[in-house]
Amino acid sequence: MWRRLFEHWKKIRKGDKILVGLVLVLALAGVLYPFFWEWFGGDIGDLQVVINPVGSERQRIALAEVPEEGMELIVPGPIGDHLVEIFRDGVRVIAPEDDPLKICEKTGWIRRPGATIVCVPNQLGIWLEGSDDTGLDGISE
Amino acid sequence: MEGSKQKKQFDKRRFIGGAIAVVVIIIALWIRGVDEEVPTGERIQETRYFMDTVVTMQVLAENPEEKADQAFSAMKDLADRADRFNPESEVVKINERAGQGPVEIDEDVFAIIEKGKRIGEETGGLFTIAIAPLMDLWGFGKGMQPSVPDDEEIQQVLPLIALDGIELFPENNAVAIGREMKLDLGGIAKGAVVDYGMEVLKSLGVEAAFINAGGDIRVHGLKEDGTPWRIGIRDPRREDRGHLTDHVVEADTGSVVTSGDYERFFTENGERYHHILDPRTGYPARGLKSVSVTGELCVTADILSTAAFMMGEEALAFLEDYPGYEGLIVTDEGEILTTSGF
Repeated sequence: MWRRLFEHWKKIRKGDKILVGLVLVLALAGVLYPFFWEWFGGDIGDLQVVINPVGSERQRIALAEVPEEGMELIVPGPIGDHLVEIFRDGVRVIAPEDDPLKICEKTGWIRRPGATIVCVPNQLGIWLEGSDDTGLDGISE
Repeated sequence: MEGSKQKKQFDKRRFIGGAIAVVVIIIALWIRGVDEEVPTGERIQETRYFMDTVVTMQVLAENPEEKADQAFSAMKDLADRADRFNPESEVVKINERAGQGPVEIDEDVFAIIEKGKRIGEETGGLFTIAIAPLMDLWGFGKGMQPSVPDDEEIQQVLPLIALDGIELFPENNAVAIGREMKLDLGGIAKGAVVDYGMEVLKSLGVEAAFINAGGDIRVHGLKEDGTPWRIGIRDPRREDRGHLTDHVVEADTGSVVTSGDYERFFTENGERYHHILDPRTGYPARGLKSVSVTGELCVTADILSTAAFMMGEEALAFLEDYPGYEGLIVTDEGEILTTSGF
């Protein structure tokens, strides 16, 4: 099979060979891009996590500036401390032991602009801001 | 020779006529474009935390920050007046005088109660603003520890949550509730507050706006590029919040609200109990994972989505018949069904 392919290849014109080569290179780049996107100069975008404890100052952290291994933030509140885990590709909250429903923890990871985490007893709101490539203005949930 | 000259003249006239027609069409399209008044102001986005949720507002207008600030203040004020956990609220006034006759309250909160009772009755009582005693029994009130109550206790509470125990006196914005009854506007307040905020923005002359209070969304006007707002619907079949159904609502006016059994729940003896309680049984409603409702008013969509959640697959027929509103339901089996106009 490879020999026949080689025979055919020899018969193809030089311009067509360049074209085939170009298509193969582009296809390979397309496949590998997601794995090496940061190396190719890609970035996380302009996503920021906003941490808004009621009665305290609002905090903003750009996800692009978060260390690769992620970071943790303790946010104290009347019924205990919330642990906010921030990674470049998402944010989640671990609720304190005394939080009866642990709604914020059940929310899981948020990863897109506009997504929110609400910690009711501690009056803590966390959300992501930034530009969105989905073309959506909001999500009903 | 003569004939050919005549033909040439005829072609020229036709060309001039065609050119005039093209110019007229272009002018007509331009005038129509001007008529549509694609917004020209600046669009800003602002997010705040109140009503135990994250509220995001986008405003397209001249001086949008100032207008958003006014709308946020008005919304927060109404939310506080309608909050049964705020000792200063109008709802607390009513609850404290249960069984002691009518209580005069402010007209905004009266309007919410009136709407809640009226549309609640249209749902056959499946949505009730008198749900507080049952919510408290299950421990779904603010800061309470939830647990499964005794069935006997549930049966005792059921007569207290019926809408016919609420009497309205529109002439002086007064409300009376029966003994041991308690109002909870939690299932309606978010939608009502969103509508209120949008009315404030409209009165301030904003060209376009978008308000999202924890998934209760209302929009007004076209965006600056002349396109409608686009709203995705969460897919409750996936635990992660980032997953959406294939349905996208595009609108330049109206609301989208979703009720779901995710997040606000607890597990006891291996069984999951969520907070949308069925007033017929006193237990969490079963059969659906979520209901999304679209229509003009956010408050109505809020009530209908909660009531439809109790109905199982019959929700679809109910929403199909309800004038001006459409729905999407996700069943426990993961099937997505929509009304004909969704």
